[in-house]
This record gives sequence, C-alpha cells and structure tokens, in this order.
Amino acid sequence: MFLGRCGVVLLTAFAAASVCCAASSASPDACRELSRHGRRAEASACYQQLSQSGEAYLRAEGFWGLEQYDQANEAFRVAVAQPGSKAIYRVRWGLLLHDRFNNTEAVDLFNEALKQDPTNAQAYLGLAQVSADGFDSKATEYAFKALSLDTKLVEAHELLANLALENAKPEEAVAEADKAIALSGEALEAMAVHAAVELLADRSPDEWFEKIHAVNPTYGEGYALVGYHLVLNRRYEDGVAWYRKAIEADPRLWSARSQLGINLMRLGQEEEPLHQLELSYNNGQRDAATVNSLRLLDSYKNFVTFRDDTTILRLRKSEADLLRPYFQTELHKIIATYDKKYKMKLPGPVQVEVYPDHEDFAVRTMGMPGLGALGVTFGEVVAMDSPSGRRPGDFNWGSTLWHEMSHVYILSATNHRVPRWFTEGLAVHEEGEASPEWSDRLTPEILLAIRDKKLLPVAQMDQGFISPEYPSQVLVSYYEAGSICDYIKQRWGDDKLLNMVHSFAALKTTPEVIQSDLHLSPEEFDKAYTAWLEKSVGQTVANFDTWRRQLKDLAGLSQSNKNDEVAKAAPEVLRLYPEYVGDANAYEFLAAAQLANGDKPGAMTTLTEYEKAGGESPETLARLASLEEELGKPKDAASTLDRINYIYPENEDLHRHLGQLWLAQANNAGAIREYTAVLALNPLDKASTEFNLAQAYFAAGENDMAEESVLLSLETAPGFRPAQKLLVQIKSAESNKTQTTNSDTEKK
Amino acid sequence: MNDPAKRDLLAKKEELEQKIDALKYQKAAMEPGEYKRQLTDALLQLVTVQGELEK
Repeated sequence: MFLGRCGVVLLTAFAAASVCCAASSASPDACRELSRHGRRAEASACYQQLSQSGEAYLRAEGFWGLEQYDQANEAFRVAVAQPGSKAIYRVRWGLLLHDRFNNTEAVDLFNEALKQDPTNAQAYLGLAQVSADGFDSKATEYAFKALSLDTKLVEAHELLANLALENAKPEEAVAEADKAIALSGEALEAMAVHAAVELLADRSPDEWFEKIHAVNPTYGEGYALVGYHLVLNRRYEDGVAWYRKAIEADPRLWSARSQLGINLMRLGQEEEPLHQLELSYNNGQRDAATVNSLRLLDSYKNFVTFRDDTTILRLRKSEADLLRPYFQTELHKIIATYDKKYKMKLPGPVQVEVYPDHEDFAVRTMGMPGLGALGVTFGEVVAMDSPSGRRPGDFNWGSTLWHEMSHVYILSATNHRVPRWFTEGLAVHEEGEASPEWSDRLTPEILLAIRDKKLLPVAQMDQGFISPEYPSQVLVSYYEAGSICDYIKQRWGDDKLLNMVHSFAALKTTPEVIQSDLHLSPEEFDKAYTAWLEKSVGQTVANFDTWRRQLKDLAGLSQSNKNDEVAKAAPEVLRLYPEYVGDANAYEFLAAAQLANGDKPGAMTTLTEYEKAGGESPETLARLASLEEELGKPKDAASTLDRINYIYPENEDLHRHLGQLWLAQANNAGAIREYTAVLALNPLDKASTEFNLAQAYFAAGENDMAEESVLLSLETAPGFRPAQKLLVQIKSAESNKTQTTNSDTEKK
Repeated sequence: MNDPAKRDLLAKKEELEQKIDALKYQKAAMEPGEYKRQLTDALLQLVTVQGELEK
C-alpha cells in the first residue's frame, strides 16, 4: 500500500450530520495512550469512535489507528483543506505517509507545516525521521532543531539515541535515551535503545525488557529495534532471532515480519522468507524492500546452484556455463589463501550469489548503510553484481570477490563483532594484496578529501560509512580504512592485522585495539598515519590543481590530433598524478599519440604503465595485448587478456584469442577454460570452437575429452579436415596406448 | 565426372554423409555409447574417403 496525497481513493462518504455523537469522549492522545500500553481492544474502540467524528482530522486519526490507511489519507486531505486547518494536521498527515512508505510527499507536508508554523517542533521531528530512513546526516540536525523548539519532545531524544547507536556511539545513545526516559517513564523506544546497547556489548538486555513489559507487554517494536541494530552491526543471525521475538510479542507487526524474511534471505534461506514476506505484503506491508524481495525470490527460478565441499555458487542460468569455471576457480584460490593467512577455516561452505540484474542485487542491500554498490556479505552468504550487469570497465568481479570473501572470514573470526571501518579496510587492503593493480584507487575526490583534511580520526571512522557528511565520504572512508590497513601491515607486519582481528573478537573498541595492539593512543596513531600518507601521496595532493589544468590542455591537444605536442606534454601530466586512470586519462592520450606517430613500443610501454596503475578499460587493455603480441611478447599478451577476464568476461573474441595464445604456450588448462568460455557464449562457428577445445584437451593428454569435443565438431561439420585429422590422431594415440598396455601385460 | 574410381569415392562420401545425418536424427533414441561408436566409424570412413579424393 503506497499512499499519496493526490491518489484517487474510493471512500465511503461521511456526512457530518450522520456522525455518531459518541466521538466526543475520545481523543487521539487518549487512543494512542491505550495503544502504548498494549490495550488493543480498548484502543481499537477508541479509534473507532474517532473514525465516526464529525471532524475530519479526528476521523483521520481514527482510521489511521484502525489501520484503514486509505480512509485516513482521505480524511487528512479534507482536514487540511478546511479553512483554519492547523499545522499539526499536515504534520500528522506527513507521518501517515511516512508510515505508508511515501517519504517524498511526507517531506512536502512537513515543509508546508513549517511554512504555516515555523516553530512546529513535530514537523522538524518528521523531517528528522524521514532523513534517518536514508541514513542522511541531516536527521540529527533536524532532531536538534525540534528539541530547540520543544525541549520536552521525548521522540526527538529517542530518535537521537537511535541515530547515535547507528553511528556506533553507544555512550551518546544511552545519554539521549536517558533524557527521553527522564521526560517520560514510558519512553519505550528509549528503553529499547538501552536494550540494544546492552546486547551489542554482549550483556543481558533483560532489565530493559522487563521495564518495557511493565508498560506494554505486546511492544514488538522494541525487539524489532534490537534486531535492526544487530543487523546493522552485521550480526544477521542474532538479528533474525530478535525479529522472531518481535513477531512473537506482536504477530501483526508486519514490518518486523518483513525484516525477518529479508534477513533470512540474507542467510541463504528461501522457504520461510517467502512465507513471511507474503504474509507481510498481504497485510499491507508494501514498502520497496518487501516488494522487491518478493520479486527477487520469484526470480530464483531463473538461477542454478552449484555445490562442492567449500562453495555454493548461485548463477543465472543464462550465464552459468560462462561464469562457473572462473568463479569456482577464484573462490577456491581465495579460500586457500585466506585459510592460510587468517589461520582459520570457515565453519561451512560459503554461498556466492551473482546477479546480472543490478536491481536484483540492490534488493539485497536495501535499508543498509554504505555503498553496497558491487557486493555485500551476510555472514557466509555473499551477493554481488555479475560482470554482465555493469558497463564494461566499471567493475572488477575478481577484486570484488576477494573483498567480500575477506568479510566472510573476518565476520566469522570475530563472531560478527568487528567495527565496519576495520572489516572494510581489511577487505580493501586484501584486494591490493591479491593483485597490486586492484589496490584502492586514489581518485580525484579522495585527493581532494586529503587536501581539505577531511579524513576522519581512526576512532571515528565508522561514521564515514554509516552517516556520511558529504557525498563522497563513503568512498573516501573505504580508501582511508584500506590505507590504514596498508600502513599497519607496512609498519608492523601482517600478523598485527590478525592480532587486531582477535582483539575486536574479544570485544575491544577501536581505541582499545589501537592502544593494546599497536601501543599507540588513537591520537598518536592518527598523527603517524597522516605523516605516512603525506609521504606516500602528499606530492600528488599538492600537484592536483596543476595536474587538472594540464590534463585539460592535454585533452585539447589530443582532440586536435597534435600528436607531437601530446607526446611531449603527457609525461609531465603523468608524473603529477600517476594514479589517475579514470576517464580521459593521460596514459590513453599519450598511447594514442604514440601510435599515430608509429611508435608502437612507446605505446606499449605507456599502456603497460596504465595497466600497472590499475587501468581497467577492456578496449585499452585489449589494445595493449595486441601490441604485446605484435611486438613479440605473447606471454604478456596472454596475461593482459586474462586480466580482462576479471573485468568483462563476456567477449567471445577475447576468449578465443586467449585460448590460441595459451595453447601455443602449452598452458593447456588455460586454453581449455577459454575455449569452454567461447562455447558458453554460443558462437556461430561451433564446429571450429569444439575443434579448438579438442586440440587443447588433446594437448593436455585428456584424450577422452578431446574425442568428445572433436566428435561434436565433426557432428556439425563432418567434412572439416583439421578436425578429421585430429580424430585420427586421437584414435591412433588410443590404439598405441592399448598396444603398450597389452605388451606390458604380456611381459608380466 | 569421367573417372569411375573418383565417382565411386564421391558416391561413398555422399553415402557416409547421409549416414551421419541419419545418425544425428536418431541420436536422442540411441544408447550414447552405441551412437558414439557408429558416428566414429562413419567419420573415420569419411576421413579415408576424403583422403583418397584429395590424392
């Protein structure tokens, strides 16, 4: 159900004359008070009375309390249209729309209310609630504004308590919750925040739930709030347990039921999520997360699952043949590396889900803070984009998989007790460890953040992920967290990072871990890290403005085909900021000019530098591979083409060519994988591809597989001479083998 | 075509190609091992015939 202010809703007409006089004894506050105490039947009767009022506003509140949302919406419309309508009517209407998943129009109504009454604290509170939904840092600002207008606004303190806890600031959360409780001994949400703080610190929340029960034994929202914070802290299984308690306390708490379903899906389940989500949906919980999760469950029929001892791989049927060999091989490589590095084994197989439709993947991250743009990890389940779902060059599935798998290990090693900054930082660090070209890129927005001294102190780094204060802060935080781990490894060694993992598992805070493991105060650490970073990228930061000017000039020269001038100017642009490999980079300008001037070795050197700096345009890398081959470096060419496989493995020609190169270099296993990939892309010339694959199998000594492939080739084209000759060779090898075996047996 | 030997070889080639086509149609109904054996036999005969023709 998605209400709108302008939506056409069929309603029973309400004639003022026919309204029952009994409504005079009920008021919205009185009804809400009954609800707050869990006195449902009385609350319902109270709302029933209101719904029969002659006053549109009271009717709206009545219908809302009875969960008759369309009627409530219409009654609010009538109420605000009346002359002399109060600002609070708009605020309450806005809150109804916020409740029914229409934040856009809710914000309009809060703003209209503020025009009418600029001192309306409730309107600011409404804006704060909507902002909080989107992890917008303005939520705090609005909540404080509301409190400045009404110091006794309990809900504003409760919201601030929640926001502080979201930002991993439990002390602040407790302080705000206590302010709410001081104003009202029945501040249930504040008590629930207290309970969540206790649970996040692995202490018992019982004391707080006893207090909650004394006010309202059916207050499921309290358990749901705890579940929400557990999920936010990546404690998905614990979160599920608390959502279960929420619906046990209040079986009609559809939002909690939906969250239960969504989080069970995150743990790799399907049957119960479907049941819970359908139940929620059928009872009006039609927010985007519920609807899209149901759609995603429905789309699972188009996926296929492959299992082995350590992995469960879910791929869309249409691309499973292509991707499976690459993903499975990489997963096993990652598991072997991390088993050794983190000195542990995962408790069970890891499930990796690969979504070619980005919207399907996005459903997995809904309601979660941070970017979540490429992959997301829920315990032992990883969901990520498929390379086919992104623009070629935008996404490296290999580095994403290494990143997410690091989360799987760290979450398991710490029993999900790890601050966001550290697990993200370590995951970014691991990308660079897996392949130096995959190190987090020093993009212009990061350079600017360093220049403008916007990096956060280590003790506050979680904030940069959860409630960013400027648009690129999440990206900047990934870089900062990753480079902090690079720094720790460089100064103290790999084992120190592992020690920190164990310290976080022992529930130490970031300042405690920095102190105990690195023997520095957080402030001393910040100072040392900043000095290291300055040494590493300070010059590039200082060069930024000059670089930008010179790159612009270089682009102009390149556009005018002034190749000699480009060749002269580009090296300086590269020296100023060698890490820049984004759109319109100096490497590509220079290589194009060198090629136009016939300087192929120069272009090859330039593009090799681009590749080493992390350049990932598939076309540019393919150009490099072709130069390497032409200039007698087939091994380098194969390795460049293989790098493209991690970026965009959907190119049939690439696989065919890499197959040829590897076959010629006796990398038979590689050639088999590449020709198998060509077949998975349904080539027009299937006979040739099967023949190529047969050659690779034959070279690898897998004669049975070679025979299968060559027969498939000849089945399509019986007169295909090279395949015929290969069949004869295979049969002859088979016959020689049989003779040798017989002769060995006779000798015995 | 005046060369009777070549004419025979061409006829044999056509016959083998038809046999392979027929086998392909029957593939779904055949036991896989038997299909593979018959297809391989026909293909190896075809290799010989084509080799003769190319001499």
